[in-house]
Amino acid sequence: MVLLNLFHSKQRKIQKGILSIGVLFFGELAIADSLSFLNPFQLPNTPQTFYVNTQTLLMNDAFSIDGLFHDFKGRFYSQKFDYLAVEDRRYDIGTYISGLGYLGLTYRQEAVMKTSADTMLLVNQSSNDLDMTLDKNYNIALTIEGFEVYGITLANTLNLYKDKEYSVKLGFAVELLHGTQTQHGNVYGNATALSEKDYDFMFSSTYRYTENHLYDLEVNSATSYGFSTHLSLLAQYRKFSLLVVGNDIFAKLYWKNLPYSYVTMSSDNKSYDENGYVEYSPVISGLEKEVTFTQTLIDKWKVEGSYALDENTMHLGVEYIYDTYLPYVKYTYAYNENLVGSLSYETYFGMFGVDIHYKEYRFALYANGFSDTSALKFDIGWNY
Amino acid sequence: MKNKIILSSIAAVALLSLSGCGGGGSTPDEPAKKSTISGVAVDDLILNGIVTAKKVNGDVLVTGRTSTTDGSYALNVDYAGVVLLNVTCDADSTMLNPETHETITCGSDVALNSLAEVAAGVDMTVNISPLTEIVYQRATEQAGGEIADITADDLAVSRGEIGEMFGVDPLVADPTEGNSAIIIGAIHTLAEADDSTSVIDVTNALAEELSDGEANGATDVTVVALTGTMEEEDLTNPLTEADGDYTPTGDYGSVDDSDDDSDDGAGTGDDSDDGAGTGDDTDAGGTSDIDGAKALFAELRTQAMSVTDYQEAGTPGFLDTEALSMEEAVNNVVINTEFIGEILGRFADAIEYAEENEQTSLSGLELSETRSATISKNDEGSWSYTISQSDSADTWTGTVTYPEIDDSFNPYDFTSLNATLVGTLPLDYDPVDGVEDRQSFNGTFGIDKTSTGANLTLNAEVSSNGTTITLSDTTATLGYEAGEEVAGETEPQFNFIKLNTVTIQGVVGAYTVDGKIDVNSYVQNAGMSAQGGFTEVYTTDFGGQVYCGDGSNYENGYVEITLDDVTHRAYTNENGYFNTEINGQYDWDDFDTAASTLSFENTCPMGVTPQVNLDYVDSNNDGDLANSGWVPNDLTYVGAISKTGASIEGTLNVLWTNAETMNLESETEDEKLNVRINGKLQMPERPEILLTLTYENTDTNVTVGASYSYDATVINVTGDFDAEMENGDVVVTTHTGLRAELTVANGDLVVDGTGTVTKDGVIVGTVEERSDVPVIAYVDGSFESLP
Repeated sequence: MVLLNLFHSKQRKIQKGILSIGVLFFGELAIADSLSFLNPFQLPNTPQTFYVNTQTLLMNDAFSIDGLFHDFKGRFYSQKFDYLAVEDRRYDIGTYISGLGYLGLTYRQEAVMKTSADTMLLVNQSSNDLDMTLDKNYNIALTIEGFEVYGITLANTLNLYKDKEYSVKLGFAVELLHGTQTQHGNVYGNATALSEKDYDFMFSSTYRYTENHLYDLEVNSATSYGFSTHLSLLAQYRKFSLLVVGNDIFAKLYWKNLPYSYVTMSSDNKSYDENGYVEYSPVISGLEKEVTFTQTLIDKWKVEGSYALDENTMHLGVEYIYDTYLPYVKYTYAYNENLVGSLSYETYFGMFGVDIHYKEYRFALYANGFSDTSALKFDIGWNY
Repeated sequence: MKNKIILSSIAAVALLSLSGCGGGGSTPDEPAKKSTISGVAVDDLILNGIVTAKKVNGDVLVTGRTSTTDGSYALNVDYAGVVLLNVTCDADSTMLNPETHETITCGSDVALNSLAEVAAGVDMTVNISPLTEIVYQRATEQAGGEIADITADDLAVSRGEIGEMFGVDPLVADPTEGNSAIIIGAIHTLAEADDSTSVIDVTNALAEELSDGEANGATDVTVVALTGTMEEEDLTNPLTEADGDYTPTGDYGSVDDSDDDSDDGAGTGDDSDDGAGTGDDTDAGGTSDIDGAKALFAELRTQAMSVTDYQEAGTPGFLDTEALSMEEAVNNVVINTEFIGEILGRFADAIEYAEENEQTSLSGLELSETRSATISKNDEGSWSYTISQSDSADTWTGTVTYPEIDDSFNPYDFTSLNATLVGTLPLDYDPVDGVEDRQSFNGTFGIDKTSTGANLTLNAEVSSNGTTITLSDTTATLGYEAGEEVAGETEPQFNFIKLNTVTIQGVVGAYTVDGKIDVNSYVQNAGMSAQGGFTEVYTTDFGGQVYCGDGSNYENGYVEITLDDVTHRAYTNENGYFNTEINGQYDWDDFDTAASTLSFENTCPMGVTPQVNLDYVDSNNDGDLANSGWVPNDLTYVGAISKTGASIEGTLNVLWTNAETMNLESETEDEKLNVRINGKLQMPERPEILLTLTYENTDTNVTVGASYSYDATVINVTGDFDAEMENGDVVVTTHTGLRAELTVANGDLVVDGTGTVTKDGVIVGTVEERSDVPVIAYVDGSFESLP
């Protein structure tokens, strides 16, 4: 009987622990996301706890990652709507300081590029020596925003409301940032294939950068200072919970002496005056200078609903970046309080994910295939 | 190229790599404070002359002397602003005529001024010449007559106006070369026309007349006189075109004051979020140096490429369009001069036959199946002809006169011979459809005996179906001597013919052609000279058919014949026909001898002995004119081609500098030419463009030049290349001091930033590349691709 009681007692404790893990999971357990979020709930909130976390994401829906590193000669995923590419790295290390909250250092690198379908089709055809589509008018559209920053992160959480069934928590973080690299610009234009090897084109580009990838141009280095704010909100009712995370909600980088280029290029550089005579414009023209520039960082959002049943938790959520929604489903199973695992599927890029949370260690790997992978997320973290 | 440009743009951005180190811009060197002003002092070349640089208030900055060999000078000045330069002579000074190398006294009256706008630490070129003196006096007038009040703006105005009038940069263009040298040469010519007048006198007269900034043809007599002299020197500029009555149209005021801070051109302007901010921050409404440079290259792009748009022939490139139009007009010309020549030969043979047989008329001279001719004698030396057509009532008539040449005629002793043809002829032996089958000819041909040969004259007009071509005043020199004696007589041995001049006028479609060719001199080419004068070269055509009687395919078979120990081969086609041309004069008899019987070298399939039938043997002779080595080495063409609203006219002079020594049979040796084209181009609805084009090649290098001007635009382009034109330099200048220096290496434009665009030495842009496209990157951050 005692044994039974002990057994039952232990069982309940375990179950409670599992439930606790389940409840904590979606808001506070550092299980990976598709995008590289900073969720204040996942940061340590007890003294003398150190936190190390790395998140690396590289995903696009045009080429396999291998292709990106081999002059676009890898597999090309054709589609009729805009392409999205995201490169997103976030490395954090910090600790909890009593009376202050989490204080840490961060390194972030992020670039988001959206291109028209025709743009990537043209890149693929040209990179792989494929014939252009004759008489097709290629709509060229490309926007890119990106940065590299080092920063200090200060974060904390507040219990706004709590009773036996309801709880509402608010997490917030502020980052002071030092920017070292940026890419911010767009290319718009069109191209028409005249023959298999030749086409007319016209495009213009507005471009702010620390390194010119549009054309070779040696420029002076530029740096920036800025800040970012992150929020998270967790509402919980019995076994149901709703989590909202917003990153870079209000975030700016203030660049000085930032290289800037405005470029227009056109193969059809002839126009005709009132007498029908040709007037020739430059094939390429533009303006290069250094500017002050306030860069607004791209905000990212995540909304997730969860339902926990004993050691099982089901999650249904969506992440958002750059006018693009990344829906996902996730299933979490807690073997015990030391080991929690989850499987997930993200629908936009088609990433399957595995999360393992073992004691103080975290590991996650998301990918949309074993070969010709075009989306890959890798996280590793450690609390001690 | 297009692919590479666009892909490098898209693909590079698509890489999204944020890694890598940032670039490190270089910091330009701090300029030295002193500036060097250099140039050449010219009346003739002023040697060891005293050159003084002063502030406009008279304060002397520095004094030096010109070179004792070439009149060049260089002064270091520690000053920024308008500088007055002055050259005078003393007892140690002389002048040197650069053409005759004659040393001339440089008198105390020789004093020439020039002006320079000096930027601190910037080296610049400013010459001192009669042209700069005119600029100086115009600037003084512009400043209200006070030298001390001359400003940079005054200098820009005077330089622009004088430069526009003469079509050169009066300050910078080398006064010893090109059009500047011709202008100064014309001033010399004016001075030399009056013993009491010096170059300085003429210069001062010109400067005074032009000091109001315009040339008044009614009152500026010296300017008008100079205009005529420049025209005689084949120079075309706005003054010559306006007969000395010209008012500049350019706006040369409001000079750019932004030079001093141009080194911060990268700018720190505010963020331009609209992205389209291509405007510059130069002075509003002013003629900034960068704007001027952009305008220069816009001119080069639009004007030059509008003239010749080779990329898309037939589209608005003027010369392309007109070349195609002219080609179409020429293709529509139905004049058949070859037929005219052949008919004349037939008539001459017929007349000779009639005279020998004492007949006064011959009829039934068959020209073709339907056309025949009749000739009848009018009187001594005059015959009429009529050509008729059997199936129509059309006739063509005319008169041929010729000199009486009987047995007593001595080709080495006569006075003159004359022949004429006046009348109409059909266009060909057989009827020609679609046009009027008639051409008119009116020509006279004369030979006047000289001691060494004869002088030929030809005047002819031929017209048909709206086309008229006239050759007039055509003269040539014929050289001949007595040849070997044959049967007691000697035939003239033809030595050479030299065309001296010919005037060509005509109407071809919509085009009117009017021009004159003068061959100014001949030289004797060594290689050709050894080949003698005129030799006849004989060839023989023969042909026939091979027949096996079994319907064989004879393709790739051949017949052979050996003549004079040389075996000739003629291949058969699939039907057995063969024909070929061989060297030598042969007839039927030569083919009939046993040693030269034609034989088919293939075997008939059925073993039948092949039958080889010879259908024709025609022997022809042609002249091989070695001309005793005489070749023209100096030729001038003056003329025009025009149509309604458009014309090109001018003077072409060609000097063949290696005519004497060149191996004309060499496939590797090139003609060495010195070519100058001077004229004007009128395109519809466009201002008239005055052009000077030059080309000269030697064993080691090629130099080309192009100057053109219209309205307020004056652009000069020079190129100096190696013989293969793979490496060299190109310099583009304007009359306002803009200068672009481009380098070509291994056939490609060097785009490493060493090529520059400057305004009086101050860099306003460099030649770089963007995505493999050569561009001018201006110091304000803007850039544009080159033409």
